[in-house]
Amino acid sequence: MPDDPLADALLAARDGDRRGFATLWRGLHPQVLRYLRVIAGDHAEDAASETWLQVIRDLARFDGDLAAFRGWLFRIARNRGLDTLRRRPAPPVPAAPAPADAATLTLENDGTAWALALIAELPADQAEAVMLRVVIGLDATTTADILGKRPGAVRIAAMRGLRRLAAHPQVRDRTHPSRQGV
Amino acid sequence: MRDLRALLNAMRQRRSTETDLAAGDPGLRRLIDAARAPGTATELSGEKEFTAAFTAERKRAARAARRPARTRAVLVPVTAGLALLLLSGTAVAARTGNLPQEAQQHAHRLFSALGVPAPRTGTPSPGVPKSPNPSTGPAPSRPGPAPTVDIASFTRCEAWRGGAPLSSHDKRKLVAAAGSEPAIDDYCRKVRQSASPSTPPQPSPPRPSSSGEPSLPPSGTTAPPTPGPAYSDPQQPETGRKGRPTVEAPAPTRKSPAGTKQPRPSVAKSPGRTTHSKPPPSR
Repeated sequence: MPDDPLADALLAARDGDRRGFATLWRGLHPQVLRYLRVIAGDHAEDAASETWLQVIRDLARFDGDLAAFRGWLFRIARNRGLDTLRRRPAPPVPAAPAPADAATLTLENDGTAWALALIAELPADQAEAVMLRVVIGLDATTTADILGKRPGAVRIAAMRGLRRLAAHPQVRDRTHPSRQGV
Repeated sequence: MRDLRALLNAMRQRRSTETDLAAGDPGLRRLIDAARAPGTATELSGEKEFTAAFTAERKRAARAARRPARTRAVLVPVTAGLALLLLSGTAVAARTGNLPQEAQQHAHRLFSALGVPAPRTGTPSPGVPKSPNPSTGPAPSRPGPAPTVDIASFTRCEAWRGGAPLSSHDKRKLVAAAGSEPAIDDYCRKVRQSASPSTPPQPSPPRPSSSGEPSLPPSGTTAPPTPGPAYSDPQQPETGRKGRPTVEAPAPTRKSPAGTKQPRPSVAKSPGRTTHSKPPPSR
């Protein structure tokens, strides 16, 4: 549903329209940032900035529809995210405090951060597959393209990640507290 | 039938496994929905910065796209100026007869009406170095603006008598001064007479001996400076005419064919020297 305005915004932005770009950014930046939060942790903000700056620089040369643009955008995001990680390796801590964070987030009712923290706990290939394929909703081919895998492998990774998440105590528990809380 | 339905079911299930799984488990659905939630104000706080970056980039790109045009705008006048400089320099060199021989011949053929002289091949005076430098060469040999009218007409007459090619400009002057083309000979005789008193005793203007004989074209290299009477035999004009086919042309003002142009003999030089401080070439 929100794809139509975004498709128009993409055309306008490519032609240099500032408001078109703003619409595009508002529609896609949260997804980019969340994906990067999963794969780059604390460097997500930096990586997202670099991603958008590269998009801004090359958008005039981009030729494709919105689906292609999303694939392009998240490919850039992945590369920038991995770059940031390579440059400044993430502190090895996040894996440990993440459950704690998730717990507090549950209390704070910040569902999004909680969900991302749980996804980030997955093995990297599963986390990426879940984010791109399920959360962001890219098709299997595009996702496989971005991850450099075959679509079958991506599908399997996503499945495993989802099963793992479903088995997560917080997810199982959450069904009750959230029903009560919301 | 049942097998087929089962197969289709399996295929459908397989295709939509991820999303089915996410939707089927309530806890998982909640998690996925939370991860898909609309952007928060914190997440979207950078909109102004990125939009500004977008605008700046587009401006920069537009400037970069304009740069080639600006370079062109500078290059064109510069190139034109250089070309003009080169052309005018060549023109001056041609007018003063300073081009290399072949180029001078070419320029003469093309622009003789503008006073571009023929190449000075084989200047027979050994005293004067065959240098293209105008400072060393005798100036009056050029058909350009002459110091006095007398010298100019004298020079033209000498060229006329010697059968040398006259530029159409010179010929027109000559015809104008004489009144008509047949009268040129008479006119030149008068000019010569008026000029001779002022000519100090010296080797008279060298001109082709028995000038105009078909067997002896007035090429500068072969014209020996024969000292002799300033002007002589009455038959000379006629013989001179023989050698010049263009003279008999019905239309006097017709331009002589460019191809007939030949190196000007040094005849025309001598009278001019008398008015200059340069000593006549020792002979």
